Amino acid sequence: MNWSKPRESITAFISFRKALLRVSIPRLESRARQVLDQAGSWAAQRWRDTRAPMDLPRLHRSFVLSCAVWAWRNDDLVAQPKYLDVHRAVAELISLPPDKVRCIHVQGSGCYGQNGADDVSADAALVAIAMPDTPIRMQWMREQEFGWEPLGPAMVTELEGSIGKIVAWKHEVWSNPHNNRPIDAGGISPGRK
Amino acid sequence: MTTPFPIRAVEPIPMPEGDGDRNSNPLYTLPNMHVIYHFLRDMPLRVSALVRLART
Repeated sequence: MNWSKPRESITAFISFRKALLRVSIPRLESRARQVLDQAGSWAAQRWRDTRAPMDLPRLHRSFVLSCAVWAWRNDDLVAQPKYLDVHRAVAELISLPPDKVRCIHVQGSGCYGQNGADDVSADAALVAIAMPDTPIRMQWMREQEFGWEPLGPAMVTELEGSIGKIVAWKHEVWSNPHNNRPIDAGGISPGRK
Repeated sequence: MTTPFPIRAVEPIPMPEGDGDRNSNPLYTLPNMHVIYHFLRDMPLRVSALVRLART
């Protein structure tokens, strides 16, 4: 596994911007460009200065890093992840029946949506399988957290109205899904490599 | 992984819960009202909800 560069790189961000700019409403484009230029410049800064992006709005920004402990013992994979439902994704990832993956909940860093907590679980599981009877505690570093976690959905909102007394109302939103969870191996980063 | 696992297809969450369009329907009955959600499936990055969705 190569941790030196995030798979989801700045190149991906450029595609990300293009994808949203396929919205070919000329009236909207200037606003979309403005929003996405900000996202792009943040992405460019992301690796130069890890202090810079802390206030920017696309990260989940857990205060505590993603971490999990997994062990492969007596043909059972035992884990202490933050989210218990990751066991289904991990079972699929390593071709084990789900009942061979037993998760014991521990408290972890808080998050709304999906952050790196499930990915680090899968990383730990892969190492645990390779090293039987050895508990593996995997913890992402800050750079990995910011580079690999799922980001907030892209979103452009355009409101238009004829007011005084309201005689017309128009509200358009361009955005990605907002409800993703890793319910199978395709949703966690080791499954996507 | 030698073969990456497929990415599960995503569908928008219908109203009233809503997805990216949550809270976009006004509480009032307005004339000439158009509220449209353009759902973007294909993105090169993994995305998931941020708290700001509920706050918009």
